[in-house]
Amino acid sequence: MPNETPKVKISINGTAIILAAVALVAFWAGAVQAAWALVWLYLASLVLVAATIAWIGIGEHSDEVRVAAVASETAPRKGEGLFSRGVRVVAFSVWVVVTAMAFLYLAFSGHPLLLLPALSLFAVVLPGAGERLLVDEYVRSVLVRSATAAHAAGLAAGFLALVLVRPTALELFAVVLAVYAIVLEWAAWRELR
Amino acid sequence: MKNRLPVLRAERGWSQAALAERLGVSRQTVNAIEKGRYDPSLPLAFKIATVFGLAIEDIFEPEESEVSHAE
Repeated sequence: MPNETPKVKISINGTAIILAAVALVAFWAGAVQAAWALVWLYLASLVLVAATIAWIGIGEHSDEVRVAAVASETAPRKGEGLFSRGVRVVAFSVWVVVTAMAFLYLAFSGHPLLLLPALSLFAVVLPGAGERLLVDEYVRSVLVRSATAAHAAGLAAGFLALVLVRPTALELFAVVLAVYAIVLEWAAWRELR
Repeated sequence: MKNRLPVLRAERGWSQAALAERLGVSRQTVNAIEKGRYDPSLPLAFKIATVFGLAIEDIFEPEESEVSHAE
């Protein structure tokens, strides 16, 4: 019988590295405003990815992850009623949406106070180190489905933004990135909580 | 696919986490199988059967619609 132990690695780099490189080029070329927007997007993507990883977590071995804080006890929690579970789901969803909106605002205005919602990610997610979770066949299928939903939502949001508000390329990128991150995080959390 | 996993687990006094540990999968996977949200792969089904000391068909049972499709 084949070994069930999964061999899944979670990689975080691509987007953030590319954004940083483009931002540097933009600074060099004198497009300061666009460069700052990219810097905020870079930080936003890092924080979002960090939040996702902190939520899922990474164990000592590459085939282990930890479910932390919000998702540490899968639903329903012991003795948890439907109402409190609903409140938990709504609170987490609102928090993710508000944080992502703050990221978008930061990308275009750069107001430092908007860092507060971003910091809430760490306040909420990092304190809990939950149970161990293996990235097995089921969890892998959830992640694939979540990524598919995130791709579709990102494309749809980008198309709508393009038609309705005719954004710049940078704004369009920011919208797609934010929608992708929100849907990915929410969809995975919804099934694995 | 219907299954008797919750009953068999309860008979042995195992939590979902304990069963997951024995199977080498996440507790979320055990939960999803018990709730019928996920059908395990054949290797995992064999492993479940081995852990309980039963045959696969003693644990899993196809839905009626699945049987009628096969016929």
